Amino acid sequence: MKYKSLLLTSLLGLGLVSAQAQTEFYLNGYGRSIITSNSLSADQATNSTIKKAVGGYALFDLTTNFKMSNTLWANTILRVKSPFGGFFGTGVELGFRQFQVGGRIGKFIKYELGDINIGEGMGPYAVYNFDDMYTRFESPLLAQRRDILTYENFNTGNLWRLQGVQANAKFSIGSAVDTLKVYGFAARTNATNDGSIPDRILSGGRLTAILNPKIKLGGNYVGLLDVPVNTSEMVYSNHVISGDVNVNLPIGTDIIAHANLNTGLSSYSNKNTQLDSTIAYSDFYYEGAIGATYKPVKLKLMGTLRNVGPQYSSPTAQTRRVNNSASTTLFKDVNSNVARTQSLFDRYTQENVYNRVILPTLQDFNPIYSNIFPFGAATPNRTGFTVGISTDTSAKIIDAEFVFDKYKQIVGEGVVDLKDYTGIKGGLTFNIGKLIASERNYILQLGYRSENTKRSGFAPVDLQSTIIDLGASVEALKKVDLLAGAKMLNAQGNEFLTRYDQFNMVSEDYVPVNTIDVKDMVYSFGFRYRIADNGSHFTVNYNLSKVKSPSSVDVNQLFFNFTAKFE
Amino acid sequence: MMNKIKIILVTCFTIFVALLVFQGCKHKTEKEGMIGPAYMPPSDNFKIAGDSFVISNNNPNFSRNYSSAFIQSDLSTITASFSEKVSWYLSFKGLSSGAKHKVSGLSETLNYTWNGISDSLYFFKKGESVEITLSFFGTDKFTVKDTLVISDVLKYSGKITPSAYEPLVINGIVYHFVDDLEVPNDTNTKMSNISQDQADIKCATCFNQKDMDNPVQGSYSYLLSGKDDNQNTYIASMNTDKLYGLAKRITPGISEDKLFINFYVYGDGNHPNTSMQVIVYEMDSVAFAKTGTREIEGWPCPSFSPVFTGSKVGDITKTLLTSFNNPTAQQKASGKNGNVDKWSTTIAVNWTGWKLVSVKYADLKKPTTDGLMGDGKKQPERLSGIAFSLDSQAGGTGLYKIDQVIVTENAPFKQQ
Repeated sequence: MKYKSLLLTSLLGLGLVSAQAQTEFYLNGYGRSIITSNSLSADQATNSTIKKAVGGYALFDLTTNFKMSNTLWANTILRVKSPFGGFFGTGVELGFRQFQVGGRIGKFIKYELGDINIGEGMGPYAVYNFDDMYTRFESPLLAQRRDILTYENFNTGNLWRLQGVQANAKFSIGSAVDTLKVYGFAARTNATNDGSIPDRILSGGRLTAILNPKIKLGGNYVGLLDVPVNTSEMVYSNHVISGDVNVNLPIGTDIIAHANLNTGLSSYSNKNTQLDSTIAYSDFYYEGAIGATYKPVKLKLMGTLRNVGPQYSSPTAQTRRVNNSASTTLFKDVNSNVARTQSLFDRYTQENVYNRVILPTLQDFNPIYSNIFPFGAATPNRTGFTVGISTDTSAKIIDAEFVFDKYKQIVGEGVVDLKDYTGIKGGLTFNIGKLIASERNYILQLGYRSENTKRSGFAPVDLQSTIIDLGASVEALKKVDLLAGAKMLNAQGNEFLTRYDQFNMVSEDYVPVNTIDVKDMVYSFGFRYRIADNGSHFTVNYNLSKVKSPSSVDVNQLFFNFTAKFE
Repeated sequence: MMNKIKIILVTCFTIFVALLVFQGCKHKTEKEGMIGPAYMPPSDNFKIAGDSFVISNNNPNFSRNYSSAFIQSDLSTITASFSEKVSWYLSFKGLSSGAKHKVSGLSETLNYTWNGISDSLYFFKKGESVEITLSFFGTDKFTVKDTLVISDVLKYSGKITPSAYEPLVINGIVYHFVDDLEVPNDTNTKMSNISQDQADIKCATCFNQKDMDNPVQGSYSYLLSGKDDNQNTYIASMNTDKLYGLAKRITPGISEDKLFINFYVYGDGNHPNTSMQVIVYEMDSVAFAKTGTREIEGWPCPSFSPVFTGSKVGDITKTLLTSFNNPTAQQKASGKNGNVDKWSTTIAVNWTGWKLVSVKYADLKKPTTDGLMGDGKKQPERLSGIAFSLDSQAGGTGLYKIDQVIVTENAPFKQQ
């Protein structure tokens, strides 16, 4: 903390005297003020259950940016956060949210250190922060709430936010290879206690060779390694190496053909130094895809064949964004013996529900939200195909998608019988305003995701889970939108959940869930005033979360949000 | 245009062939047909046959297990028969200790003999009721329960007579019992020698004493606590009463990677700067001096080899005492203390609750300050005494509890 204060002071001082022509100093800001009024009703609530709560906070993130002649830059984000109800500064938190320094070495190499986002371009099998919920056609009311979580948890795209160093370079080579890109990073994911716990270092990189605008070759490496200390009991290491080929070939002026091949392998090792014994295994994956884009109607067809080995281990790709075990912060308990479990509403409104660390073992997950790919595309023990059709993202009036997944396990887990997975997802965004050439926005959204899991034999499984998204956005007055949204989850059946031990192997702690009967509905409606085009807005909405599984827990929330961006 | 179509076709064909090749590659686990432990839930027609769920002995005596006095019927054997092959779980839960033990299987019959071991941190206690539950994968419909009362618990002490010492050996692990901190304890290895830094002012709420609050095993653990008023980081210590108490017990020639000092340590979470030094003593050739009426602590033992070659434990004790009381002229003239190598390591007690700590002998180093000097070589078979100190940061307070001290060979301590 001390060195950060010193650096900020230095940066501010440098900024004040930056009369030199090549230095630049500027500020950005992001402010948010939230007030919520909440109520709970539940079958199992008692007289001592807390049924009403009012909460909120005001925060301001000040970003200081310093840039010196294109060779050096730095930025910090200083946050001031005051909880709702604190008078005269009671409970105000002041802290650094981000610290980055970077620059350029020579003409080709850019580097960054401090708080960095790693994994650019490395793909879903090497480094990828995936979201297991299908949110493409979600109402903007719900998407707005999710944006708060992604901002608070630094979820930039599908990158992981860590502390470390990264560098990339781009070279124009010549005839054989048009461009060569090199990217590397290193971060520490676990700190040593100088005793029994070693440092754990994450490092990796990507080499991309763009042969010509149509063909691209790439290779990734990611290593997660312990630096042993004298008395560390376990020494862990995990390596992932992969390679990919991408071909995008225009055919005439209307069609682009796509082809992609991606394959890799992982190697895991965990040594018990006291017993001098090692658990080690390796596995591989491959994925092939072909597709075509028809430009006149902005339509894209794709087909993917995928096989991920049962022991494929890639922590930076398999760590879940959503922590299924995170306890709820709003109305934590239904009564003194029953905690309120995570609902659909919590998963996109609760700031602590996202993981911020890379985990070496596969986490518990709830199959009603995602059972085909609970660990993203790198979910181990899956083989099958995906076919789909979607509109190109540049489509303005209609944006639609339909995807069909058909997968099965490669080997059984605890039984010889295999689980079969079938999934359908898709949706439509219809911009009526553009259709009628209106200046106002009139947008309707419909999203659908259904998954079916089946297994026969001694331990039969039959689980169906459906999520429907509805959304409407009507610009009633200039820059004032009336918004409505709904997300409805319905899940029935049974499942046998697999649990993983400390070595990421299937453990004996299978969890049979004999009766799954969940209805989880969220209805939201309100309005939004768009203050500026940069995303500054004032929103008021009312949310009703109704969960029945089988006892009912309802949470109602009136939500005020004022967000201002200064750029 | 035709060229581009050809390129696309060739690319697609290449990818198709590559995928075919990959499809031919099998994952290692595919050959096994299944990963993870097998399970099979009971069908709706499942039954436990008649009165087949039987406990052979409702008052087992586990103390005689592994000894010559052992009789199979001292233990408890649980049996049952089922109408079909099923995944079953048999769990044991100590109703006062909270100790747990669980076994599982996939079969049509159950036949399990329990020897009193616990899978949890806590040991089962003498005289406590243990709830036994037979359950089945995925359902509570067929669960049955019963209880037994433990008449005596499993002990890890070997056989000691005046003429012989035989450690307990179970599945290749050799157990050398040191102290279970119980009352009474009159063994040669009891850790009853407690010292306190006299320069520290006595702290009104700090104690060094037997503690009955939630021990790992039995009824007692030992609590060390204090405040480092003189800022030298040392507060208190405890050691085996006789620093030669463990002599001649460790297997000759054993590697330092195969010898472990095991003990349970409790941190209360409120003294995060607590640390403990684990100290072991190796008795090498020794001389001693007697000054006036005050005996300087040492090992009244003449040179190591002649005493220990072919000698038995009882003879050593006798020889030691004889030598101590009757030093040779050479030993008197030397004025030296006993020649002892001291090896140690420091552990930060920064956890809350009980934890089993197993220190590998190879991880012990020569302390930086020491008044005792032996031959300077690490010789695990010469292990003769153990000490634990309570330390904190200078001027701070420290606290931990200790229980069940055992030395093991070939692997860290585990209940079995």
